[in-house]
Amino acid sequence: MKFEGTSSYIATDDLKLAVNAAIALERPLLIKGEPGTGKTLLAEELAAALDAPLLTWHIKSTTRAQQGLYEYDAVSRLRDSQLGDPRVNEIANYIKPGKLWEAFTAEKRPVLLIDEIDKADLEFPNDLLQELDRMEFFVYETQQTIKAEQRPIILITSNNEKELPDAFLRRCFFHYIAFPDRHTLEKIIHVHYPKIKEELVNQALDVFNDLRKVPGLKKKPSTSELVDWVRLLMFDNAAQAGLLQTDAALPPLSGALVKNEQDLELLQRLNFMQRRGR
Amino acid sequence: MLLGLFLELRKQGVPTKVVEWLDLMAVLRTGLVTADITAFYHLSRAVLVKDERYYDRFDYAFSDYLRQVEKYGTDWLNNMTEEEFFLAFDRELSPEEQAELQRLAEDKERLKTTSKQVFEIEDEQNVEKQGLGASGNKSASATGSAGFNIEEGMLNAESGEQKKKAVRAWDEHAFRSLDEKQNISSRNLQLALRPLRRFAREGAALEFDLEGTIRATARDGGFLNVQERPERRNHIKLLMLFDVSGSMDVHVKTCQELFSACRDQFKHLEFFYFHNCVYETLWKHPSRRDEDGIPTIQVLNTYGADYRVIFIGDAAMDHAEITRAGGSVEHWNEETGEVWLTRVAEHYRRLLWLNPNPERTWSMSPSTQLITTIINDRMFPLTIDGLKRGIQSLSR
Repeated sequence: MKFEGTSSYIATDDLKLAVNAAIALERPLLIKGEPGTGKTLLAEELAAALDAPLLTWHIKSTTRAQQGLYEYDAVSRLRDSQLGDPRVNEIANYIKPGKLWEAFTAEKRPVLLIDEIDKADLEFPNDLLQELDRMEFFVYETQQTIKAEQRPIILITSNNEKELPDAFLRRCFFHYIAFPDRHTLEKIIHVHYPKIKEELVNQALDVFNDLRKVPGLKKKPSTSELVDWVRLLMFDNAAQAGLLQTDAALPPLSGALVKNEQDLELLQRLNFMQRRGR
Repeated sequence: MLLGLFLELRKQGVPTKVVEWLDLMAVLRTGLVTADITAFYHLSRAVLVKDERYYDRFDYAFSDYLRQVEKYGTDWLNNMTEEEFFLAFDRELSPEEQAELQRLAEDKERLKTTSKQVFEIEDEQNVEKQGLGASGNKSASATGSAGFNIEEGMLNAESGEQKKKAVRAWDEHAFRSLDEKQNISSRNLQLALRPLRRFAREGAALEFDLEGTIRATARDGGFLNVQERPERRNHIKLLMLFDVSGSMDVHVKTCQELFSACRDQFKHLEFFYFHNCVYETLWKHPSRRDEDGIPTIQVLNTYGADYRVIFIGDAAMDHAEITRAGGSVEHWNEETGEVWLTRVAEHYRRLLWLNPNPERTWSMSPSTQLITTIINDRMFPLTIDGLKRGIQSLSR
């Protein structure tokens, strides 16, 4: 099983290697990168490329490691017992499998995406160590051990909000998705819009790269925003002409690229488009 | 065995562990990568480096290692005497790691040969000789042969035209700005924001957690079990004191940007300015016009001891400016700078000084030494790493 990227997802060579190494050694792969560089998308494309089912576990700040294994719905059981429901006698009725359980017991080898693991508690990755290593866990309430038929391919993404513990890191392979270079950006645009004019791509990329270089921007525009912006430009001829204008302060349709007021103000103060002309 | 790369990485301070090294050997054995250096570069980086802030150091280690391979050929491990090998081994690996390697060798049969080869240099020389004799053919028995092929591949690829090819990926140093030992500047502003935001969120008190309590109570069969969770409000009150002397301008600007960027994360944030050292007046504006001065005593009284204070300054001035009355270069100060600084340090227990000058120069400046003593050693360099460490000390 090798991953070569798909027709709709441009994967750089180093990313492909990291993914294939993780698959070869059956280790989880930790992916970090700027927001909007395609971390979550990678899992979807990988599942499509390998024809494997995709299971996604979105981590929130309140997520506990136990929730990924299973949850014992004690509240329902208490309620049912007070109503005299016969299901109360069998505790297995109240065990709800979590994402890891589903991944371990899937029929076909799945891709499991653990999204934004750094959002959770500091202890969260440590709580998963045993399960990630052995691919099995013990259900205390029903006294059964759930073991993985085949090791799922695990992709873990992180936004770098928190440090991840060492013991967790050494069990994973790691890849940092650097912001794509101009050549890759061009390929990405072409993959999304095959009929686009070459000239428009070049002008748009010039403006985009200059925008990213502005110091002090609170949030730099990302790849996904570039794709959206180009799409808007494609259908708006006036805006396309606006790309070359040097008397406006902001690039046309900048609402697609710059998402907060401080950055907009900053660009206006800098007279961004005019400066570019020089 | 490519051990040279491992030792170089340790020398550069990349925290690679022995287990990760053995993983790399295992991946190489699957034949995923053969004689392509760039592919090997990417692969080893994915397996050995677990945080992007070490990517730059990895690049340096990799190019150093390649230089060695090219210089000595694959005989370099042979040419290294047993003493030198063990010296390097002892130097780069801690006793715990060496013990761990030995323990792993006992735990997992399939790794036994690999780890033994690391310890017994005779075996290693044999492996290399076998590889040499087979002139690059993969010999199935020797587990070191995969590594040998890579090195041979590297040597061959580097001959002739290929050497003139485009810049190699690790020489581009694309990850320079991610290295945390670099000074905070506009380039790594975003990176510096993260620890600050984290800092702004912590220290919150606990509040009643309704959901958690219900869940815990039901699980305990109806016995009340109160659960708490941290508040989600902004909690930290911060005073920033900037030194506006000539060399500090660019740093002041960067820090202002940095802290303003996360202003909304703090409960309260105020900027003050001084020149070289704190005396009896502070200013709210860097131009420090006389009529805009605020008495320091007033600042101390207005902002209580629960405020945290961060100084940004190079602490570089004439020693007398701190220790003598009238030492200030601008006016006659009744009380010495030392007295004022001590007052501030005693009023605000949680205090921090960030210094843009490199850490190794601090011991050469008497004023820096003096200030460090006054504030109880809480001076840190103005790098992302220094910011993180400083923030940790602020939280205690």
